[in-house]
Amino acid sequence: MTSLRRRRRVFYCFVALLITLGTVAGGIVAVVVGPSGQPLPVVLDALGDGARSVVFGESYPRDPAHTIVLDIRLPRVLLGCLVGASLALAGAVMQALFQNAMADPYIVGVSGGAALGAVAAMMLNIQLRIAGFTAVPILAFAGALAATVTVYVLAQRGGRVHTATLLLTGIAIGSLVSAITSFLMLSRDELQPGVIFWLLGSLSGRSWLHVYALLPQLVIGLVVAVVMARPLNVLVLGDEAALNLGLDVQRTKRWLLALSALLAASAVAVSGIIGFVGLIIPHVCRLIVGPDHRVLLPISALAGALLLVLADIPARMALAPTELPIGIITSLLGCPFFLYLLHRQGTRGL
Amino acid sequence: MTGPEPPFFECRDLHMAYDRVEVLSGVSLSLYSGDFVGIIGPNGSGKSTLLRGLSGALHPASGQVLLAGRPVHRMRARDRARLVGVVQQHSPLSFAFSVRDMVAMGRHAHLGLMQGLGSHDREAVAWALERTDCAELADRPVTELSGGELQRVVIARALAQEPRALLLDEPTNHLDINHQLEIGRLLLSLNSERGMTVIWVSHDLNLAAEFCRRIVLVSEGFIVGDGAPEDVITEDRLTELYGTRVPVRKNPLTGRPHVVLTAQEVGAE
Repeated sequence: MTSLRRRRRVFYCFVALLITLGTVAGGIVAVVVGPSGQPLPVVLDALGDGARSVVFGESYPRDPAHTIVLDIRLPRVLLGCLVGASLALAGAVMQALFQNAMADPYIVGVSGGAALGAVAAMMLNIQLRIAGFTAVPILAFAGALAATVTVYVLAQRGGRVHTATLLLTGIAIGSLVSAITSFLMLSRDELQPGVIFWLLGSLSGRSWLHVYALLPQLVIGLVVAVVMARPLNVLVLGDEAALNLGLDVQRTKRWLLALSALLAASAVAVSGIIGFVGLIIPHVCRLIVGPDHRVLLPISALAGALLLVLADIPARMALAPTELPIGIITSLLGCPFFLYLLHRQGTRGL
Repeated sequence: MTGPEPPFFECRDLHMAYDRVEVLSGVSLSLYSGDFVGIIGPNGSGKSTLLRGLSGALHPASGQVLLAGRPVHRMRARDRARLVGVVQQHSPLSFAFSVRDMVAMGRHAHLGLMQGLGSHDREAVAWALERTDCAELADRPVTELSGGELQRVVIARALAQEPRALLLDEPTNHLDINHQLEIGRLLLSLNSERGMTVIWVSHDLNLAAEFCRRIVLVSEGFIVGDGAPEDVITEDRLTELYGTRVPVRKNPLTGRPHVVLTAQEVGAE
């Protein structure tokens, strides 16, 4: 019995290691390939210089190779990791909160609110700059949080929030907001391609600024995820069962909802609405490592990072020099794999 | 000298409602530590609601439930769970936890946020698995269990809480008679060996009569009978309550009342 547990633990570590190695390898490939191909030695050299400058404060030569590797491609790879991890983590938490396989990080209005904010910024040509960010990410973030808060407040009945009510309120507010978004989009035809590109999600043209903007939320998210993993296990047994086991259900839900909405809103603000990652990655991970959130949450975060780093390579390369929205690639890559797992799982389902 | 022992559960003029539809209409009831109580009554009489009131899962519309002298719905969930374990009627399970992990969740109320299972926690889990005959299921996923096995696992989880009282809502529903009896006997031995208070909601009158020392009869939101099985489960009262005449005899082995179900319509004697 104990040996079985130990074997499981070894298996979890093996899976985590495999995903991490895959992400690092994918990241290196992503830095190497591109319109101006940088040979591997040059890349490694530049990465070494970059690391030394961070650790020892040494300066490195400001040549094009260094700039491309350190200021364009590396932050993009890291941002992919952070966005993927945030979305997958938020998705795993939302699925547990709602005990619903259809739940994703955007379920309580995050995507609708973000879309409205971003589209308003573009269509109304709002000029705004806060801490280096333009109007689109700022309004997307604000819209996402505003929509989430609205949904939560409307779903409340006497200080309690029922899961089904929250879900349906999210859907209702989502369609209301998307109606306004569509109306705005119709008002200025010529801007539509850019809007659609943003709506499908992209890591194009992002910088260290975006990495720094997302990093704190993800760190907080990971810490909370570790601390809240056991309560989350109890929560998926159902509200009343969880209450009977001694969990303060309402408070736990409030915290987890706030956390995952913040993660999703931050991710959307820097990368647009990248679909699929937050919905499917937690399912895939659950099929591989099981439902225990102490394992599932960190593995989901890692796997989300891996998927986005890998997906961003064809997003940049497939139609180079034109970029593809990364959401298209995540669906194309992830869907067959997920269907395969689902099929192999047989009648047991999720 | 100690005075008379205060009740472990006390309902004071308890009213309970779902969306303003009143289900319990003024229940006053004292249940004592070490009791073995059956709550019986027709479908929709309010017996499950009474149980949810006792556990604190549902807030009273008015009146009060005291658990060990404190208002139950004001207690922290954690403190309640250390005193009372609940076996609910439906346990939706879509997540494939192993039986052992599932039962270990019974320890939640005894653990700090970041605290792992200690040696006492492991003992409690092992004990709960053993008492419910679940030890050999420990590594199976709960999603693959039969109804009877799952019911035992849910009881094991409540036992792992090491509660002083166990509230059970139709724990023998949909089970074969051997499993029904196993669960009844398990509850009986927990009650006699550990002094565990057992509150058992059942619509099976014979099972309740056989195992419980005290029967509370609920009908249309009121308590209409309370006492020893032979005083509560009587032909006249059941006829009035269920609207059909059912003969009540004595179980020849135990002397407990036994409701005889017959195809013949039985007229008043």
